Amino acid sequence: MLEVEQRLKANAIEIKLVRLRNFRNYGAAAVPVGAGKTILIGENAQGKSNFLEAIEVAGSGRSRRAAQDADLIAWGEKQMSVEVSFRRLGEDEQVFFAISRQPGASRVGGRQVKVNGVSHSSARALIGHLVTVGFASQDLNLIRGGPAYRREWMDGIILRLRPSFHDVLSSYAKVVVQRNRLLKTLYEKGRVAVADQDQLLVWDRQLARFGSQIVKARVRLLTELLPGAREFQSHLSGQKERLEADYVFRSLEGREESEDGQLLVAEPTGRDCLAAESLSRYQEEEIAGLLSRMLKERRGEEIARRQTLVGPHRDDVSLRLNGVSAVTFASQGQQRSLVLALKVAELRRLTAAAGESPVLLLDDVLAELDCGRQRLLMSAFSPQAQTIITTTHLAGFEPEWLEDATIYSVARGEVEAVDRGRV
Amino acid sequence: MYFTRPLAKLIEEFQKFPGVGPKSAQRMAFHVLSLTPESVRELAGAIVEAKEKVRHCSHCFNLSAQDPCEICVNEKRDRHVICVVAEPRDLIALERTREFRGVYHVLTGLISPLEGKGPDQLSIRELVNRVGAEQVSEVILAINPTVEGDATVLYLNHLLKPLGVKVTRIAFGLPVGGDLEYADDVTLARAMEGRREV
Repeated sequence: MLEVEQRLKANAIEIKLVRLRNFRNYGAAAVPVGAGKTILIGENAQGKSNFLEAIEVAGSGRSRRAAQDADLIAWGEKQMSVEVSFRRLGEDEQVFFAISRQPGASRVGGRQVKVNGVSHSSARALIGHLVTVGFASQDLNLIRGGPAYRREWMDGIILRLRPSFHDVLSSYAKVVVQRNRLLKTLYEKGRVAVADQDQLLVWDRQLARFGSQIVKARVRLLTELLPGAREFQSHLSGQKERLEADYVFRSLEGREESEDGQLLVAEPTGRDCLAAESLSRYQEEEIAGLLSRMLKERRGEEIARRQTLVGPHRDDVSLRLNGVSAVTFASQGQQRSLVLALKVAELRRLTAAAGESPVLLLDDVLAELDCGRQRLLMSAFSPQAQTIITTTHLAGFEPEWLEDATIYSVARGEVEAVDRGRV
Repeated sequence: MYFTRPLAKLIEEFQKFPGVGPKSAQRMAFHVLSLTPESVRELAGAIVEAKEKVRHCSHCFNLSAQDPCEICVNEKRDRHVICVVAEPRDLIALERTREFRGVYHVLTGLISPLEGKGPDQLSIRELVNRVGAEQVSEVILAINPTVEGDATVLYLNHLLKPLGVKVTRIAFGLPVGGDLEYADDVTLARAMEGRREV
């Protein structure tokens, strides 16, 4: 019996201890976290979400909520640090991330990154150790928000699956910056000489090279996520809704004719987008070829606008339920279900890749879900997954969530254990 | 901090050097003060002399006190092979290996629109002229594998290939004595890409 239990426990990343220093509204805090479920209960603006954010920051070196890193440092303090001790694949590990404020600047200066006690120069080293999946109310932006939310979501998952993707993303970003500057220079010169053409071509090639790697990685991810998301969505809707995802080349938007669409795919679903599943059959070189053609076509406009208009930094994903756009036509309830379906698919993909469940961070989302969805969500997790849940009240929680949960109260940046008898 | 004016000025000047912070600048300034007057004059003289005498070689753009430079006039060097580097310090690194017996061409930078560097700001036209005028059989591009380096390589290849010259780029891979296990992913991927038969 004990052996089976141990084996099950080995199948989830498990945080043991979270140490915070001057992180947002926290002073110095050391919070032991148990296996299974931990519930943080407290009024609004007491630091519940900050606690989950700290864990995400320790796992990735960046925050999805902070506009700038300096926001993570408590008011009036010079430095913040987060240290998380956890167990992964049966080994004890530790990640540490600290940033200090530079005098007089909103930008931060020194960063300190340590993985298992070894210092690294880049926060990139953190990726792939403390893997988490966060569910938060702002995730609704995945459906309702702009394309940037969906791009960031996809790229974030790819990074956790394959940390080396970071180099592709940063090379691509550099190419776009360099290319934009060149476009600006050409715009100011007022004419494009042959030598300029050649130089632009060089940056086009680079853009197509790194851009196609990004498109390919995103499309592959979508095809991996779709079956899981589809199953869950169909379940939530009582087998009535079928989920589809298209990769949208936004540079093809608003075109009269889609020559390239025809050149590229057998079954384009629209003028500017291609079903992820059919696009996935295309090789990186073919996608690079498509990007190059689009670049050539938009050259004049790019110079006029001094901006790179073609490439994955502008692309999007269009989600459709039974053939119609989820952004425009889905009801609030449908959109909520869809976010849940996407997140569950993300969780499953990361679990499959890591060989064990990531830590789940549920930020104030459970209370918004009805009993049926709460149960379904629970069934989508592996039972041994470590889950940290924040909420303002326990009413509305399905009893399963409260079973063997450790409960803490959070007030003004202090975390305290709550006696179960008092709840 | 209270320094008398001439000392403060010296510290300021040292601090303008790359990689020199306030602490090192201070240490360097105090070192200068501890030297004998002759040594200080020698140091100042060396700085002025280097600045006045060292120029870009008009042929290969390497730094040298003579024009054409020592490598360009050396009869023993193979003029059929030109190794292209971004900066003189890259040339020095290659020379240290004593493996390369050809001649060089220093670009004096890499294509980078952000720094206002396009082909016209680099010695690219001169390179193309050299390849056209001299009997060059191979151009080796010893250029860093960065976004700007790759762009420069693509651009040079585009110009040089039509001249019928063989254009190669140095291989990227694992450091000698290095450990496969500790190599970063990109280096490893590039090394895999550039593998060859043993």
